[in-house]
Formats: sequence, structure tokens, C-alpha cells
Amino acid sequence: MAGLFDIQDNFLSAILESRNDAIVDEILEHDLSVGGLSVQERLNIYRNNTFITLKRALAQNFPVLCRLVGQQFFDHMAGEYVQKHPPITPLLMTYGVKMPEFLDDFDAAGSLPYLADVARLEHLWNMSFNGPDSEGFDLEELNKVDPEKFEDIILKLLPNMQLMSSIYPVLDIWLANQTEEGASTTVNLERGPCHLAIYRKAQEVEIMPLDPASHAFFGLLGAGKTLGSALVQMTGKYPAFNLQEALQNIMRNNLIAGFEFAK
Amino acid sequence: MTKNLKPKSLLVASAMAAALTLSAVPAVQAKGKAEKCYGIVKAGQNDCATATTSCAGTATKDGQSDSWIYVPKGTCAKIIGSSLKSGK
Amino acid sequence: MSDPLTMGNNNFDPIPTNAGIGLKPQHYEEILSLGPDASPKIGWFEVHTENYMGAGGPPHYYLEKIRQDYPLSMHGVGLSLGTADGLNLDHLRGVKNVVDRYQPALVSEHISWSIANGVYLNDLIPLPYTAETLQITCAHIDQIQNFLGRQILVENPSSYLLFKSSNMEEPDFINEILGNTGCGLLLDVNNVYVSCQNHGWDARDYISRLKPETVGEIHLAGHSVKEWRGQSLRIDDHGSNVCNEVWALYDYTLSLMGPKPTLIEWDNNIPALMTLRQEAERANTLLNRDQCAKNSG
Repeated sequence: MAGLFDIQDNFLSAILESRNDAIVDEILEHDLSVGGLSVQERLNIYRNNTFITLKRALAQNFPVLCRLVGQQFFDHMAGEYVQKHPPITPLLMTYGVKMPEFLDDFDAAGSLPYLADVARLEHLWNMSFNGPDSEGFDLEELNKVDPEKFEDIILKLLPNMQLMSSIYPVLDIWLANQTEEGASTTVNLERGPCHLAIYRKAQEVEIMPLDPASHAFFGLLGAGKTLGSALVQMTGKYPAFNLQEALQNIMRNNLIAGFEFAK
Repeated sequence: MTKNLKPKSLLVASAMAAALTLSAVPAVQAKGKAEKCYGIVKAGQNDCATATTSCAGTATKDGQSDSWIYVPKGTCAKIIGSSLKSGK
Repeated sequence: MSDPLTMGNNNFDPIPTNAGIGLKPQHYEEILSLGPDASPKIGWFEVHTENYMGAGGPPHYYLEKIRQDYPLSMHGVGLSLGTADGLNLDHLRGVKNVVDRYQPALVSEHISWSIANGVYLNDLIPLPYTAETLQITCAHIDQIQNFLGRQILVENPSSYLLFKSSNMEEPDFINEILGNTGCGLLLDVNNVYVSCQNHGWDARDYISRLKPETVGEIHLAGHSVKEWRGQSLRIDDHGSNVCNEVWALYDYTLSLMGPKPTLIEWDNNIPALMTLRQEAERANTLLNRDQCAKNSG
């Protein structure tokens, strides 16, 4: 008889890789002559349950992906994903972090090159949905700051804010697939790239399309750069960048969670 | 802003001051357009039941057929454009 | 509140000895708009701990509000008490954070395993009942109770297979755990029924071997029946009403143990809130009858 560690290790292989040989010897044979289930059949219940619940978690975490490829294909794809990337934490609310890279290598979906970026957007949406709440920030606090010190300020954007860029119009694709019925409008991929901020202020997740410069600026703020050093980096790369407009956009949309001074 | 600030400091200071002033005025149109999605009934994924789908109750092995028979058949038909590659 | 049947060693909103229901996001708004006094009254709520372990967002927003009006029980599915390669300490810290935040009256987990080699299977898999498993499981329960600074309840599993190496019967194994660790029992009457039917055990005998004073909570749920080659297998899917056989076994349990806080679990094909409240009322009827009998006898 194997010890507990080996039993669990062998059970895992049976579930994820259909390698039942090592575990079947450990499982009690019920009386088959009266119609009971075989050991293999009993194991299959656990295998099916694991796959069904994990695939269901993926379908809930990637609803747009699911609509785009259809339930049957998604089911197959999610099964492959579970085998390749089973969860490594018991929190399933953000299960599927590797879906974009999985899709990049998933030949059966090779004709739909934008899928990985749609998956990235949905994962970031989940991260924002479950991410830290922000306390709310009063712009009056910034009015109290000595203008001379503004360049040394590190603006903290919403703590659940996520940023992404895609060469495909993934926000349009996402928007067209928000209802159970699926897309009613046609999306042309030639509409080109998009840059997005995904964040949650109260209970609703919002997605804001950004121009490339604002996207880069948000990224610099997110990386903890001071306004002064962010400006220097921005003007080098984006000569047309307008700091005042970018700040105004941030303030008007209440994207500031707080600020601190560089040490 | 009466002190002699270095050019960069001045730029940041004036941009901030202007943004703060203008942001206090009701926005005509925020520059970025936020698309909202509520999602408050998003189910909790962790539970302790055995799945109901008939497949969980059947003792047959879950279908693991070859990938080539699976073709996306969803709303992807509505996504068009010349950058679509042909499938393998 | 001097009810000795109310387990949990904090005195913060103890779970009342009546019926509660599992909290589902589909019902958040309706629960808030009903308010705590709507009839039939909901005694308390239970949540799956892991669904409230994100940093923030709507799940916390709603649970905070609902927690203000109702006692709460947190029922975990991810600690994997019987895992041979040690508890996931990150997860345990996460559980402590959320328990500290919501101060639930009850904290529970399962007598099963779901993690091996760092992979989480999201299923409650049975254990071989051996001295080795007992030692590992008890050590983990001790570790959890010490870390959380409170008693936990552990739930008897439902299962579809048994291990050859088991040399203890399930109720005896459970009693050993309770005796060794001082934890309480979350007696899932539906699980007892499902497992006993699947393995040919006697459900009343199983329940009569448990110690009433160790039971801190009872679970009731629906299950389904699948037929194979003329034999049936019970699948614990929490997707329907509690069946009459399980109600009868619950009635028997109460006759042995007296009233206990009882949860209606429903995790698949989630029905209207009213259906859950009606199931809870049915449990309350049996609980009240036993309460009266106990008071007058």
C-alpha cells in the first residue's frame, strides 16, 4: 500500500493526465457482479468533476472569449488549458492568468490572432474587479501643495488600475460581445490598435480608451515616476504630449487615489 | 508661482495649476470615454459541490478528441479584416 | 446567549440555532432590499471563504452590508486538510485576513484533500482512513486553529470511491479527529446519506456513532441520482431541493442531537431566493419542534 503522499500524487496524474495505472491498485473494487461501478469509472467521476468545474470557472472569467469561439470550441480549449495550466492557488476568481500565452500557441485558434488580447483584457478586467478598493481622493489636497514641489510629486492612480495595448481593436470586440446573444455588430480589425486603462472606482469596472501618449504617461505614473521625471521621459518620446490635458483627464475622471513626495 | 522656477518645474507647476482649476469646473466632456460594465452578479467560482452537468455524473471519460475537429463557431464570424490568418 | 450548542469560541454574533442559507451573488440585491425582518426570516448566511479573498470589489461591498444584518459562517474549500505535503501557508494567511475582517461565528473546512504537488483540483477528494492520514490531518487542524486563534469545524465528505488502505470506518476516523484536535463537526446530513448509499453503509448507524456535543452545524443539500447497469450512484451536486430521505435522516439526527444551526446549501442551478427561504423554513419547523420538545421535556 502506498503512503498518503504517493496516493495523492498518483491521483493527480490520473485526473490531469489520465494516467490511472498507479492509482487503481489503491482503490477498493466494489462488487461488479451486482452492477457497481468499476474503479476506472469511479475515478472518471472525479476527473470529470474537476474538469467541468475548472472549465466553468474559465467560462465565467472569459465570457467574451467564450462567445467569440462558441461554447463547444471553448469547452475543448478550456479543457486543454486546465491540463496545461491547472490552478496553483485555491482562488479561482482570477484563474486563467496564462490564457493569453496559451492562446498564442493554440493552433486550433490560429485563425483568430486577436483572441489572446481579448483574453488579456478579460483577465485584467477580473483583476480590476477583484483588486483593491480606493478610498477616494479630494483634489483639494493637491491645491495645498507648494507649486514648486509639483515636479517631485508621485501621483498614485487607482490601485486596481490595469493598462494594456493591443494591435487589434479589442475594446470594440469586447463591447460587441457583452450580451448573451453575442455580437450584433461587425468589427473590422483594420480599425487598428487600442490602448486601454481598466479600473474600478466603486463597484463598476470601467474601460477607458487612451491615446498612445496618455497610455505611456499612465504607465510611468504606475511605475512610481515623479511628475517631473515622467514629463522628461514623455517629451523625449512623444513631442506632442500635453501634460496639462493628461492631468486634466486624470482629475476629471477621478483616477487619483493619492500622492506622495519623492524622497 | 512667483519664484524663479527651473523650466521643468515651471512646466509641471503650470500644468498642474491649470488642470486643477479646470477640473473644478464641471467637465464639458472628459477626454477619455469610459465604458462601464457592472458585473456585480459575477458568480464566486469556488464551491463545494460536484458539478451537475450530466457529464460529471456519467462515468465515461470526458471527450479529449483531436483538436482538428474543433472549429471556432461563435461570434468571431462578425470580426472581419484582412489581417485574419487562415487556420492551420 | 448561553446556548452551549453554538460552537465557535468568539462571542461576536453567534450563529443562532435556526436555519441559514448559502449566500449567492445572484441574491445580494434582493437580500438587501428585503431587510433582515422580512418573513420568512433568514437566520444567518454562509459563504465560501475563497470567494471573498480578493483584495476588494463588489463581493466585499455586499458581504460588508449583509454582515451588518446577519450572523455569518465562513466555509472554506481550499485549505486541503488532508494534503500530504503540508498546508499552503499563503492561503492560510488569506483565510485569516478574511476571518479577521468579517468575524464570522463559524469557520469550517472539509475532511478531504484538493491540493497535491502545488496543484489545486477544486474538488473535495476522499482520504484513505489510516493512522498516517489521521496524524497529518490532525496536525493541519492544530496548525489552522493555532494560526486563526479559534476553533474550526470540519465537514464529513461525500464520496464515490474508497481506498483499500483504509483501516478505520469514517465515523470513527471523524471522532478521532475531533478528540485529538478539539475542533467541532460540521455534520453534512446529505453527505452522510450520499456516501452511505454509494458504499452500502448504514446512515442511521453512522450518525448514531457521532457525539452530539461535537456537532456545531448541520448542512442540508440536494443531490442527484445516476443509474448505471441497474445500480444507482448518488451525486452530491447541490442542485435541487433536499430530498425526503435526507429530511428523514435530518429528523432522526435532531432526535439524537437536539436542534443545531442548519444550513441549506444550493450551489448549482441556483433558484430564486424564496425557494431557499422555503427550504430553510422546512428545517426551522423541525428545529422548533425539537426545541419545544427539549424545553418541555
